[in-house]
Amino acid sequence: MIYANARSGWLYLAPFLVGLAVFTAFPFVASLLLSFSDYRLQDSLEDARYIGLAHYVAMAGDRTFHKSLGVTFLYVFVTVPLKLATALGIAMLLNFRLRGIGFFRTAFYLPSILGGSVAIAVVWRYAFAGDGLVNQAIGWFGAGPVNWLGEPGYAMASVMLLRLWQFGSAMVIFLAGLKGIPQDLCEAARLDGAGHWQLLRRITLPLLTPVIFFNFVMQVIQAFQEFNGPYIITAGGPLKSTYLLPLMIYEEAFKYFDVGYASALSWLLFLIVGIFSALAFRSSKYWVFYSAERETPR
Amino acid sequence: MTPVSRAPETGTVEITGLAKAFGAGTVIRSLDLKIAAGEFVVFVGPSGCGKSTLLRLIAGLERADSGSIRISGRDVTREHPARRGIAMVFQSYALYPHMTVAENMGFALRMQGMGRAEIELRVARAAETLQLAELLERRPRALSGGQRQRVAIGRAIVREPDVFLFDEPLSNLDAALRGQMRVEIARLHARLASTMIYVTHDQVEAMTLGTRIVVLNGGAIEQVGAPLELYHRPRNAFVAGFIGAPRMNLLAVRAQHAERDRIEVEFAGRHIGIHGMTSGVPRGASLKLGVRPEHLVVGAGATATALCDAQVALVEQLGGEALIHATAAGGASEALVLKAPGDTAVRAGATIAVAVDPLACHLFDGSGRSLRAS
Repeated sequence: MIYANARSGWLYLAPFLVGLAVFTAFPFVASLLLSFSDYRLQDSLEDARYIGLAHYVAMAGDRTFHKSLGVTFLYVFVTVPLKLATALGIAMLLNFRLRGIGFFRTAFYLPSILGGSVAIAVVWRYAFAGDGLVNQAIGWFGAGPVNWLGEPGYAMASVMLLRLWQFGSAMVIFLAGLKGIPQDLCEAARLDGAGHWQLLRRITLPLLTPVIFFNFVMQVIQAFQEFNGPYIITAGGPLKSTYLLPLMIYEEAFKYFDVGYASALSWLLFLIVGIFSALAFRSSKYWVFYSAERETPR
Repeated sequence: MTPVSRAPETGTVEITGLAKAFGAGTVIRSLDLKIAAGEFVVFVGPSGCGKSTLLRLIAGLERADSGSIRISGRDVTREHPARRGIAMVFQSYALYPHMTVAENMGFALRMQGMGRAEIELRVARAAETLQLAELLERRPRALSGGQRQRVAIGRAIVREPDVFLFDEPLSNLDAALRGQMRVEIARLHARLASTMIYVTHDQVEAMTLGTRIVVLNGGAIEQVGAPLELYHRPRNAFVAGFIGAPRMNLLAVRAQHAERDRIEVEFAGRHIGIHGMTSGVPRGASLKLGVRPEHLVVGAGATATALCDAQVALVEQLGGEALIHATAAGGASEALVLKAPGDTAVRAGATIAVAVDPLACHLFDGSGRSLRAS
């Protein structure tokens, strides 16, 4: 009976385990091995030679890689704080008890469901084109057309804006965090004489730090992995100004067929994300406050 | 900490025509109440009677629909909660979990812009009063329930308010700690001599702590008075039933004969004459006879009159005393609770003779109003 139960248990688990092995574990290990090889997509795997750390050494002299790494960091450092601030600000507005607040919550969340899709990136490309909607809109205010996708600075801003537009999922998590702050604490702070700003600074934000931390880590990871937006809107241009690292990895592998180098770049990206996550976790003990009962009352 | 001399109006609370509704539901109905400086007033009543809303209106956490609130002689009806001269202790303690005990206690003073030295002095003084000196650097999560409660009280004390507000502060504690904290709060009131307004649904807390009790029901005051006044002279059947534990027995009786201040009623085929009542009760009127469990005796007492025979359903042994749950025989079939000595020989299933002291009896008319002559 126990044996039969165990067998059906494994059967239920099998689809997940097969998927994990084929689509996650195998590519994970394979990409690590390939990063030490000179394997190219058009060659047979048997022809691949072990070249040690050659790809990693090559990165040091690869100017395209330097440029890509620079714009990736710029993209992450600008979009993550801005997106978190936007999401938190809107969540605070949506935390008010107002008539029809459910509609506004849905309306603000909607871009997150759509925002990551290829279709929206295509719409974005047309909206920011020379004769696109954005230029028409600023034209109504008398401003001249802006070369959104042709000027390096504007192109990066357009791609960043698409990411900011997808603040909904972080906002929903912030909103849940705000709802979790006991009303009594806010009332006690009001009685203690805290105004709106003091309430935010001294009570709300400290109590929200676990949620801020979670959202921060998730947003950093997602921002480092951004691909759809720059690929569809600007194709990494102009002058590689939006050539984020995932885009470079894709092109190295599927445009230049250098799978070995692309694998090495992937592992470097993984390492960068790992370092940022580790730093965030290490620093969390100084600024993240967990109110759960972890110490034994004496 | 010694009481300081204050202006005569300091600590007074005057509520006039106060009303509050949430949507279609009226929670407080045109309520008037005066509280003198230094009083310990307890708001008591069943769930939903409006006692917490009334406290929150005084605190300024709810806005009154009409009426006025004056604290220390000043109209504070539209005043910000922080500027009303009050401090509140919440049911949940509402301690800031990310701050230490000292930071929690000093937060209001920091918000007032008080200097660090003065804050530390006040916090240290309050901590000493409440035996919290050893815990000042701990966070709330490292404190027991009783310690958290003391910090919440300490946070109120350091503000040196005109009026302390307590919103069911002991309801999260276990029975033993509740009793201990009750004594501590009573001592604190004696020491500070400040006005305290205390909300509870526990009538034992109300009786033991309050210098005056305000019994609320349906958003209106049923009776205001000293604890023993409410116990001995309840204005109506609601107050009679609410004050006293176990609750007063309210038995359906019929008026047989009324003469001057004496009304004779019939219960389970027996007649009892009760003095000190108002005149004008018609013969045959349906009344309620109110008798507290402690005023019913098993068998015949020296001053007691036979009330009925009763079938014992259950005996609850409490040690020093026992509660006998019985059903009256003789056609009345009313449930009775008697308080008997702990060594009572009465057992479930027995039939007992129940007697009552007529002087300890209450009578209420059909609307629940007491018939006792004032």
